[in-house]
Amino acid sequence: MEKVFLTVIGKNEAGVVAAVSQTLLAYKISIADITQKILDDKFVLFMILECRADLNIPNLQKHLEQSTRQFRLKFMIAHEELFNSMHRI
Amino acid sequence: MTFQLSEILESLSFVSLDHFDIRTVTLGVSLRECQGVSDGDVAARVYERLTKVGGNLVPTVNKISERYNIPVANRRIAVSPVSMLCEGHGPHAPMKIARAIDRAAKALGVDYVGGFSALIERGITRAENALIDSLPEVLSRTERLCSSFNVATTRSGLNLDAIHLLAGKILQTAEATRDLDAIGCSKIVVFANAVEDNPFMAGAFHGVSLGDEVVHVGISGPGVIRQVLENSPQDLPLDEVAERIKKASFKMTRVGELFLRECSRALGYTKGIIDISLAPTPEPGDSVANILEEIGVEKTGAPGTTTALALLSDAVKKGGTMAASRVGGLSGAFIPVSEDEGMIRAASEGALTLEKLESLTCVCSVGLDMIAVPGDIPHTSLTGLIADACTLGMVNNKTTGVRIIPVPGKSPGDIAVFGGLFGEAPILPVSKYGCERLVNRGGFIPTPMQGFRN
Repeated sequence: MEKVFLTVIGKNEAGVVAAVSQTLLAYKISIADITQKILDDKFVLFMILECRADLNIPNLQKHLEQSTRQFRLKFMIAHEELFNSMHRI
Repeated sequence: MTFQLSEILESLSFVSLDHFDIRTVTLGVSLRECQGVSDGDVAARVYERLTKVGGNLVPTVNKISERYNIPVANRRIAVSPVSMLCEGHGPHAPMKIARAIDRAAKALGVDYVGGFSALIERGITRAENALIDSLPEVLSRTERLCSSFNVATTRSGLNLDAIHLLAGKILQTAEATRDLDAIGCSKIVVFANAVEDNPFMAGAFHGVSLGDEVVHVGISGPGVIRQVLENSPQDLPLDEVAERIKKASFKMTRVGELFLRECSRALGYTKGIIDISLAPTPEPGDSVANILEEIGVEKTGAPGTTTALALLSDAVKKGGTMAASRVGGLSGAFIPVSEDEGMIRAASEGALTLEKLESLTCVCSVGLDMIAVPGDIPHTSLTGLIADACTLGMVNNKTTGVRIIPVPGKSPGDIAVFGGLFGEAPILPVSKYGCERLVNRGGFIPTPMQGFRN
């Protein structure tokens, strides 16, 4: 299993977390960690996902965008190693 | 491993707000095994070798780009100097090999192939002469081939005759592509102290000291540095400015190193170098000139510009050096006028002149880059301009390069439009005084004292 970081930015509305989790469930992805915050009036949801190494990230991103269309969220998904490289020596 | 939310958001803003990308993944390929009995033979072997070794380049790079959500702007190939493959063959060899390389590039989906090149700082062989002769035809009839020449080194001196020969071919290439504002000339670089592992075009070639296949990565990110400075106090002392640039450069280079490692592993080729360069694009916010203005010059080209660029270039290199296992290429800051929105503006408004650009050559990563001049520039003056920039490289023991575009039918006040990443360039005036007698003396400039380090 590998770790992938999912960040969601948008407006806080009822059902946002549920809608995101539903799509992750369809991919059989488990959520290892979840944090949410309000930053500069923006809702920021951050998840660490545990998934298979062959996860198709662009596909997942597309599905997340489609299944949460009504909330107009912005998704950014990247493998854990990117953050390790940038922020840890 | 746990991360602060601010760290995650910083990484994401690099890409989504500040135009950070991997500017290029460049596969260096030795073509020395492609010798043949006829030039047709050589061309066929070159095509076969490139399509074989480069087959996985584009899909592999795309996959890694998706995994890390970092865009990769270009996928390129650098080959051994093609002049070496022309040795022993007739005058048609360069064109035949050029067409084979161009066909292979299209088949592979790579953006550019560099290496239609020759190293001629000490002299020119018959084959090198044939290659230089073919330039106008090759660059007007191929799409993806780039050409470069080394005409001076600190250890060997400067070959003025070679520069004069190339200046003539640059003028002919401009004429051959006059309908497109002489875009053919955007694919010719004349170097002093050319490096063997440069991943950036148009000057990339696969050096003779490298192995069969090597992967290099060039990073970019002027927008990131600009944002860092924009978020800093306006009166922050320069040493602290340098510190902040170093930190941002370190993070960007770590991403480059990650890409290099993954590409090398997935392709099964040797890990090459990271070129830590700030490479601008015409996109608003992705400009090196904007950083210089953020550091504190009113307009790029104003007094203080060379100082600001030296600080920037040095801090970028210092920050990146620790982040990469091997740094190489042209690392520093590029200042291609037509490809940088802030440079275009400064040149159009008369703030940035050819003479100031020449002084910036001493502290940037290359030199007079993507500069448009009037198409009726005298041949000897063009030679003089190129020789001046190469002399700065030779004497100061650094790489300098010239990519100059004499645009037929245009004069100062006009704009040359190249499109895409090449952008557009205002035509810069050139001194009305010439250097005919100097150039017509011909010959070599001997090795400068700086070159004697035995």
